[in-house]
Amino acid sequence: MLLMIETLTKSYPSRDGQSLALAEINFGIEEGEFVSLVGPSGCGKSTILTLAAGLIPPSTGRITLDGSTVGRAGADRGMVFQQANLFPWLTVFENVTFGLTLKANRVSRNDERVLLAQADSLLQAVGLAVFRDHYPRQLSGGMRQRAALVRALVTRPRILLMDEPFGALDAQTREEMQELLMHLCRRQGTTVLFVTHDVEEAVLLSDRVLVMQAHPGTIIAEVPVSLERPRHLDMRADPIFVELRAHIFDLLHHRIRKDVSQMVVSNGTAEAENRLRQA
Amino acid sequence: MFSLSAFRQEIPPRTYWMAVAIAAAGVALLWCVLTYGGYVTPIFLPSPTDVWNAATELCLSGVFAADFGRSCCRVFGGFVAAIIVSIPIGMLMGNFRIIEAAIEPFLAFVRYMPVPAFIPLIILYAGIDEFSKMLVIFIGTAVQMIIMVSDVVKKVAADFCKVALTLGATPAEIARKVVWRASLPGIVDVCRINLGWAWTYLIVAEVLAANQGLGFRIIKAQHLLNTSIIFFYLVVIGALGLGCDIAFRLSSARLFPWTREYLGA
Repeated sequence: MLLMIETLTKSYPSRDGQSLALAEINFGIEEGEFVSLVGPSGCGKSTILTLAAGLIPPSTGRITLDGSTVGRAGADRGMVFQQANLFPWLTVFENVTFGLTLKANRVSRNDERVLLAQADSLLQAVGLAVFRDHYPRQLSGGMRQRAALVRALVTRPRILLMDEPFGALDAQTREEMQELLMHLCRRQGTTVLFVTHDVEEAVLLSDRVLVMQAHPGTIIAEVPVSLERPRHLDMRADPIFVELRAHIFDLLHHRIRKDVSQMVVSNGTAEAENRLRQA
Repeated sequence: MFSLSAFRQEIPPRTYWMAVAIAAAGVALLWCVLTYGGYVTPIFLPSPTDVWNAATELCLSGVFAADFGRSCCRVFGGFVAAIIVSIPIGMLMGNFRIIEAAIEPFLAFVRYMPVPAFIPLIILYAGIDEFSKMLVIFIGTAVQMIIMVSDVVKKVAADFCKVALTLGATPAEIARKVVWRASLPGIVDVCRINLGWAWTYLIVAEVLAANQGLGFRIIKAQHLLNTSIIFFYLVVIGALGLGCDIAFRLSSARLFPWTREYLGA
């Protein structure tokens, strides 16, 4: 296993003691694997990513990368956020090579030349070569997100953590980004942990989909995706795809229905109705 | 062409500058009518000719150049010192809550004390030489600038810092390569605003104790009931402030082309 998450929990102080955001999370990711976390909002899927990135510490449990416990954030775990967050004062090329200017990623002159050349070739691969010396404000939302993706890859992370990276994009741009990501992963052999609330996106991109539920956040099912690779957008009409999608929807909705029936008993009907409407 | 009912609408630049010209011409016309028409005594409102004559006389005699040079030196000294002190402290306050806790409440208290009220103390401590005038400007601007710089620094998007962290940046690198770069345009703007205040405090300091300078000359002119000189110096101070402001804005647009119409994220 490349990334191992063992008995991970995360709780936050709240008005009445501690509120449990994540309870007992266990899973692993093999080298080169693409794993997605799906679940309703508030199930803690992004929290898992933030913990793996080292941006916040876990309450209990352990996260290991290549067998050693991960500490603070570092370039061995690249991260792509929902917003591109490119630095507006740097050009596209300066943005994507920002990681290489940091002490933590210092390499020899020769290696640096290789990495810079690789940055250019990645920009080429995502269709941004022409915009190399443009500022972020001159780019569209999709282009910015592509630059953010390249920025996370340039420092050659062991694993790429993606937090609803296409959630803020329009439908068409999102499909383009999905194809691009599949292409890049195949080319680079990248290991990815991907968070999304879009079940179709999860099935299309992943080798395995981990289905979560909220209150507290737990993984309720693991769904392997047997679709062959390379994948393409047309596969969404494939019977296997359709069946997997329906299966995951069932898993998500079953839980919600069960929650609702419990709530009817405990809290009256208003909240339950609300919950049903959201589902 | 345009209508006043165009509530909060953009107008063409030509229309904008036309409005500027008409308003300025209106004020000038009113001034001419009031003075040349003899409606106001020259002691209260001198005519444009009076002001012009006073200006040429002061310029030719070298008095104006001496006043102007002296005042500029004072502003420059006090204001540069304020920049040097306030930027590092503001950066530290904006980045470290503990330093903010130690400094902010004190400054929030001091910032509401009017600077002119400090002048008797400053004269007592520092005398009435050049240094004391710079000290007035320094105290007046540094306190405000520290707070404003720290606000600019605090407003740097936390997401920028997160991105840098996940790329392996150390806190020092984040401070230098992200927070500093992101807040530079805001800091330059803080300097622009406070330079205006520096001129105000200069005049206040010179009015009280000086033997040269723009503010000193105004007070002296008042004693001699020479209103023309007061008007000339007021126009100079206004033009100076406006000039500095425009210079700051232009250089800011030059230095930080990326701030223009950046759409965020």
